Amino acid sequence: MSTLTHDAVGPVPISVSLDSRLHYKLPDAELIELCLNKDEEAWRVLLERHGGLIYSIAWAEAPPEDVPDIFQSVCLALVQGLQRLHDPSKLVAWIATTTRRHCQRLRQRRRRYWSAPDEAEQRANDPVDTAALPDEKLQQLQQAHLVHQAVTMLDEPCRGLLTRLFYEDEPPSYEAIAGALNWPVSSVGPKRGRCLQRLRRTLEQIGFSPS
Amino acid sequence: MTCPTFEQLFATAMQHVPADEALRIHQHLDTGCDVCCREFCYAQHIVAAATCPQYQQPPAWLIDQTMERILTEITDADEFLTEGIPVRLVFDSFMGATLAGVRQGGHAARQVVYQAGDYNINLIIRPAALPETISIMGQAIPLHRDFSAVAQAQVELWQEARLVQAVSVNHHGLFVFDGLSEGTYDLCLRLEETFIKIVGLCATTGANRTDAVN
Repeated sequence: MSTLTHDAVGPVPISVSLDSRLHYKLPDAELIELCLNKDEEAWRVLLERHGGLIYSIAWAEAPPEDVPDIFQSVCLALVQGLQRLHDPSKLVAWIATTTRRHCQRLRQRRRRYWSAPDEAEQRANDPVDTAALPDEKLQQLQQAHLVHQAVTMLDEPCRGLLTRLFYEDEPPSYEAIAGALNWPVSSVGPKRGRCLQRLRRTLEQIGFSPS
Repeated sequence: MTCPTFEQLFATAMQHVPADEALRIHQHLDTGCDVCCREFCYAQHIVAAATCPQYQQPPAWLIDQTMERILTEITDADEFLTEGIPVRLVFDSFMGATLAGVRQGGHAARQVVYQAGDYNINLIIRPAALPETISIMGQAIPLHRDFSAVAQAQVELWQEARLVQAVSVNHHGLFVFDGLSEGTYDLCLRLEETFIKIVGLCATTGANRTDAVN
């Protein structure tokens, strides 16, 4: 069991690393195949791509000190789970379900441990798990996850541009973007428009749809 | 006004446009332009998802620590695979010996039979439909003839620590690997609680008749 404070595991600003690795563009199906072939870089990209969903669900359903353990347990379950996952498009759903099960098991263990025997039995038989994330919230997290995933799959400069747009507290002005990327200010708008179209295509490919 | 671009609609959804431009765009949307309303709704949906406050990324140290554990897990899995049910070769059609009751493959085909605990693994290696490729057709036969013990089990074909193909066993214990190049493979049949691994299977229909088995 990790001994961590709330601060140590607290949320960090969403960021998308701007390196030049090739794996990040691969769709899940190809990434999974590489992971099954024990490709270390593919595993890292898979964790970076989908870790946010595991972490967010765990953060919503479990006490902060348990979040790292849950995260690692789900990732290790993924080592075996990938071998049995016949449909790569089900990966996000598999991750969400597995994370929720890990959180639920943890809650049940905690209740049994901390409650008086009668109370523990009563709670264990209670069909309503009030600490579980409502389906609507889970769906929101999955949608947020898909947008983040789509951004990470884009090429530069779109990846960096949309990362700044979505995930910085104060979105930079056109002048700041133009200065950072050495573009004329007048080209930022059209380029951002093209990046948004690319994002849209990627979102469609990975199954994002307005509910 | 004419229809705004998706970028303009998106900027409006993010509230990144000057007030006068936002007003013009909303006035246009209020006219009931179907296409723009749909596009604006889609943009709003992306923005809402992208800015979901509950969605967080794990810290880098957690990713690093988890990566270490995953790599250990994968390595341990390799070590685990050196165990399992012991396997021995009992028949190879290229070796000239023929056991009673064992069917022969054709001229170009090679048949090998392995015994592993309560199972026989019968493999027929033959040229495939595509030129210069071969197929391995196999059957996992429980000696007690209860094929439910092997149905849906995964069979993996490895070459130099790379998974080449993985297939499932059907209800008659049959499985097929197709479109392979000739070479030496490791074949692993994963059962409920253990596995059978044939190491150094020389998958050739030609003159290379060496074979090794653990």
